[in-house]
Amino acid sequence: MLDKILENNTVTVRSVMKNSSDLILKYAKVCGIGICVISCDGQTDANKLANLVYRPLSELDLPDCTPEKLASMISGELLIACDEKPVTSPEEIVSAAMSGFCVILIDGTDTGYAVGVQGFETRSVTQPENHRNIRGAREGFVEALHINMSLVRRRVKSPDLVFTNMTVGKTSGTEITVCRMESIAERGLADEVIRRLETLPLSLVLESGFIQPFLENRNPLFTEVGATERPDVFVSKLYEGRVGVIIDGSPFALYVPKLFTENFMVLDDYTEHPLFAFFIRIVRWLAFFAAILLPGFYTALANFHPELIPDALLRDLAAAEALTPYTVLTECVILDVFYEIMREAGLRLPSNVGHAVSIVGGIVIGDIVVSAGLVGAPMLLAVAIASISGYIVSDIANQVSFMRFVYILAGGLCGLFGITIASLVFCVSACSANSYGVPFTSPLAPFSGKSMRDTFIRSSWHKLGHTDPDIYDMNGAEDDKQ
Amino acid sequence: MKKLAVLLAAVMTLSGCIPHPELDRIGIAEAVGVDFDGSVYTVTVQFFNTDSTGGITAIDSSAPNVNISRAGGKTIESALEELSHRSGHNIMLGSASVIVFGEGALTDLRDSLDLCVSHYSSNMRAYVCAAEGSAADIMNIRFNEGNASVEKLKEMIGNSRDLGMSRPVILYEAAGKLREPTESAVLPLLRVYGSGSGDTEEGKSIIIRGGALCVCGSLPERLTEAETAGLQLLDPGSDGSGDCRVTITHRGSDIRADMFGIRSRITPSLNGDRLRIDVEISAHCKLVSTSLPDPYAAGTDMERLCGQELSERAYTALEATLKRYGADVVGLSYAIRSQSPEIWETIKDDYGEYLRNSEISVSCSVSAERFGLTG
Amino acid sequence: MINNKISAGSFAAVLALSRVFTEVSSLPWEHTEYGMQRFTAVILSFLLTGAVYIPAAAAIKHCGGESPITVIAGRSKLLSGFTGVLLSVFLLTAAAETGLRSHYYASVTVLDYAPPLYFCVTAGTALLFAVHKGLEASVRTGTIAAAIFVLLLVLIICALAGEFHTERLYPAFTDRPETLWSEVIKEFSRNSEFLIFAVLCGNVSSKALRTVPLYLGGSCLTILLMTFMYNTVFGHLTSRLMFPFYTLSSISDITLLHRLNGIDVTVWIMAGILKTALFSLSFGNIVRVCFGCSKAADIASLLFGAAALALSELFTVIPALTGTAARICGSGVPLMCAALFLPAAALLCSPKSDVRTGGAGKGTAA
Repeated sequence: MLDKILENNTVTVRSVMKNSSDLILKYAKVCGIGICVISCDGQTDANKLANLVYRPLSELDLPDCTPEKLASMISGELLIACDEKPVTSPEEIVSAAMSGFCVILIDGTDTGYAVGVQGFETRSVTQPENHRNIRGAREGFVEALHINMSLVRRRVKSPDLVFTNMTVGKTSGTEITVCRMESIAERGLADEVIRRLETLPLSLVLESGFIQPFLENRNPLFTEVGATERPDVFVSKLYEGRVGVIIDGSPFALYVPKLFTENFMVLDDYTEHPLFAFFIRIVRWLAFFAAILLPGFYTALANFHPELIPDALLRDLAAAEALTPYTVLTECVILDVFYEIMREAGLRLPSNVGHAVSIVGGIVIGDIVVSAGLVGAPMLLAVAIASISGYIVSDIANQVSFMRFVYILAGGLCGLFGITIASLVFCVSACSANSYGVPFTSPLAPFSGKSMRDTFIRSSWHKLGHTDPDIYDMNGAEDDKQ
Repeated sequence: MKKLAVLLAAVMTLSGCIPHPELDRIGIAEAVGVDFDGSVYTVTVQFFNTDSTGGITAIDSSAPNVNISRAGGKTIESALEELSHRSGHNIMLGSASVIVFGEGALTDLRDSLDLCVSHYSSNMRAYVCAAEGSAADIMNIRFNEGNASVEKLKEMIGNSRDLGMSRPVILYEAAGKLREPTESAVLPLLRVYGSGSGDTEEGKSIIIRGGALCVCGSLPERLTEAETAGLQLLDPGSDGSGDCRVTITHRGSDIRADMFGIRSRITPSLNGDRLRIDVEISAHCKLVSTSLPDPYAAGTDMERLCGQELSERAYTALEATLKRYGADVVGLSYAIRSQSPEIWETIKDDYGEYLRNSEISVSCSVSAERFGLTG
Repeated sequence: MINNKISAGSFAAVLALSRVFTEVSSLPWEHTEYGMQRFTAVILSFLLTGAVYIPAAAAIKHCGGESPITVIAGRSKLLSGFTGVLLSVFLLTAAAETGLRSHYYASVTVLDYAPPLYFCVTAGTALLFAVHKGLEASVRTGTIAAAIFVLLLVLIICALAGEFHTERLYPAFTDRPETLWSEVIKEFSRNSEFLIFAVLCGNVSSKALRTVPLYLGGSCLTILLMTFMYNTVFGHLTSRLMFPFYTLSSISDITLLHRLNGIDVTVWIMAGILKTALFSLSFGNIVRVCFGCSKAADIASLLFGAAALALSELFTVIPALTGTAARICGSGVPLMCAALFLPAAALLCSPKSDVRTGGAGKGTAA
């Protein structure tokens, strides 16, 4: 608790902050009473601080001023900031200061006043890096929580949209906001999310990926938590009854539950004509299967079931393989691993060097390796198509890479039987996932006919607009509603 | 994740359990010839030569596109094993698209066809043909064109169907027909001839001349070209289009007619103790290369002449197969069963004899759709 | 282990897939006959199967959607134990038969020269994984496999559109009257899905009885369609083919793939493993309900799966045992016993209040 003697309070705050250099204590006298304005360097806006705090305080002139009168004046009339709160302990003072507040302590009172004058440097709102679109807003989430909240609120000007602020991480004290549409989202879902966040055991939360595992249900392969950089996508998910989490410091907002089929939907599907949306969705599904299966299927057929390959193609494959020193499986593994190395290198390197890596990789693989007869051209084609296809469903690109590798091994070692067993295991693994009461694989399994209007096909808005979507329509329990 | 790792480890540990040859060690059989001399089966296989084409480097266009290998054995399986041993390749029959049986092997095709059909990787769509003489002679012909010799042979078989000369028979169809004692199959008959053209290194080529009538468990019979052409009218087959070309003579000039949309309907009935078979054929025709001054005025004559030609072909074919050999090659038993089950019950035990004594009547209606440009 | 509710539609899809699996994966002593009689045999066998479901359906409706074993277990420990043992034996036999079918089918097609142990270990691992993940996961995976099968069927029909010789069909209900009833019984005895339904119907979220017409109708129509395809495409050859559907898929050329039999094999191996998993989960449910051992149920399911595969291996090495088991299973007697005993016992054990209000007021809310 705070003491009535200002000096004692400032000493305590300093000791709590371990005399950190970024703690700023500004002493002054207002109407003859000593005050101290505490703030954290870099967290406040100097203009706001001057206009909202220093100037009113310096111009204040109260006759017969007592600490209580001054405190009452400051809290009641003097300060006009959008965010004010009283603080009563040194820890609260420190927490408020580090969150961009300035805290006014008055000698002779045991209550301080925190005034929101946040003004730290943030990145401006720009186009999302990972979730680009052709038609639609060019705004993506940024790192600052309040900006992200404003991006969401701007799209839903309804009291139905509710934000619940929390702080997670014992050390980092990261602010997060749980968002939901009050009338649509199931209350139990929001409560469960809040419960999980409250019991978060982490002391440091730097990114949404830190808390994502605690919202998942320990599925080894697929995540049941969605992440998006786009406020418009985030809002649409909330509108379907999901609960979202925005994390300070991360441009990725999370939402639960997420279904497998959502990986194949993008915002552009809803802005284009339904026919084209249907076409491109089918292409995405095909690309997904090509990405995970093509090299594995190729090795399985080439090794164990060549009779399944059309005659003319088989002859070309056999001729190509006759020139290479390695087995089909070895070639496939080498190429796939080499591709993954290049991808990783390209991701981490500065963009200038990244281009160079791409060019070198293209020349090495595309020309020298094939020309030298180390790898067959058809195999290179299969791996290349699979690799490119993997990016079409970018949200699960890592899972696709892993599954592709498993399929290569399964197909190369055991043929179609191996592919079958691997498929069964992946399917069972995906189908066993229940994301907050909604099966991860719905509306495919369990099948929901009603939801098919926005799964492979995207019905026109004339149809979609009739009823509000609800994520819990997909839980396979339609029978109950009939 | 742990479970996935365990599964992956189990699969990898057991990976050596499934033996398989690498793709470049497989001899991709394109055509197979089977001969039988009464005691030994000789199998001749044309398999793909990987040096000839494909890939992106080291193409040697002068190399033959197929290799030929031959081996014998007590059974076809043992002959194939011997052949794999000699050629150094694991012969894969799964992509063989033409199977040719020599005269000796045609006597009873049941075992041979069963072997092909029962193997899980067999190509059920392979063409089954008969060789005039030895199948090995046919297999020795290597066409230079394309990247597989067999492509040319397949084209020939396909063309013979398009021209209405002979109907191709597919493996599963042959296996089905030659298994049932009430049915028979006519296989296209291949013959080697010296063409003198540059199609092959040897200056020889293959021609399809007539068909070999194979009856379950009996010696094959030779059918003429006209007879095989007639059979195609009655049973165009699964991938047949029911087309043919005929040449008719009208007032001293030869006119070629393209017949298309040929349909036939066979109506069986019992006339006393004899089976009566009424065949109705309908077709459309397009007349080409006509030199008639007014072809439209002669349209009715043209239709009649075309109809006569088709009727004769069909009658000749039916007479040769049904009456001469008592062989059902056009699926007549299916027609009798579906249209007159009671007749089938009466005749099924002595089906061949009923066919031999059958009465055949063929009628044909042709409608001329249009005339050629020269008309 | 997860054991949540499943929807009636998914359950029906999986049961239908399991039924068609039995039809497709013939054992050496079974073969598909060519002729119109097969249509008759299939229809009669499904009518008979439908009749068998009537008492069970009446008992389930009477007991408010609960599975018969739950009702029995609630009243009499002795009868519950007896029911548990009886059903366990039937389930083990059916599961071993399914394992045998899967193994035989795989070894004749894709596995070719691989040793039996290979199939046991890999398929067994996948089976145990499916059992471990529970009923929900297995049923949903089965729904996906059923969808792949429907896609395969459509592809085959498209690829063979010109090959259906309808003239090979002829108007006859029977052409081998002496074998008609044996064919009917053989078809009937293949409906071992009854055991799965009877044990697991309590896990259906609602309207469990809707499963029966959906599954019976779906599988009957599919098998009739397949029979139509065999007859019109293969004619007499049908009787010579070990796996006619496999052969149908192997002559289907869709340009991208010279043959579709690769997809065919994938579907049926998955279906076989999932069907065995369902039997294992049924056994787990019996252990949970009839023997009251909830904690041991999960382990029991896993052990059952392993035992079923081991027994199927035993079948492959002891032909005499296989023949005897096949004769018993093929007679339809176990199925009939279960079909008569279960509903009778359930009706006997159902509380009096249920008898008064059963069916009308309680509905099938689970």
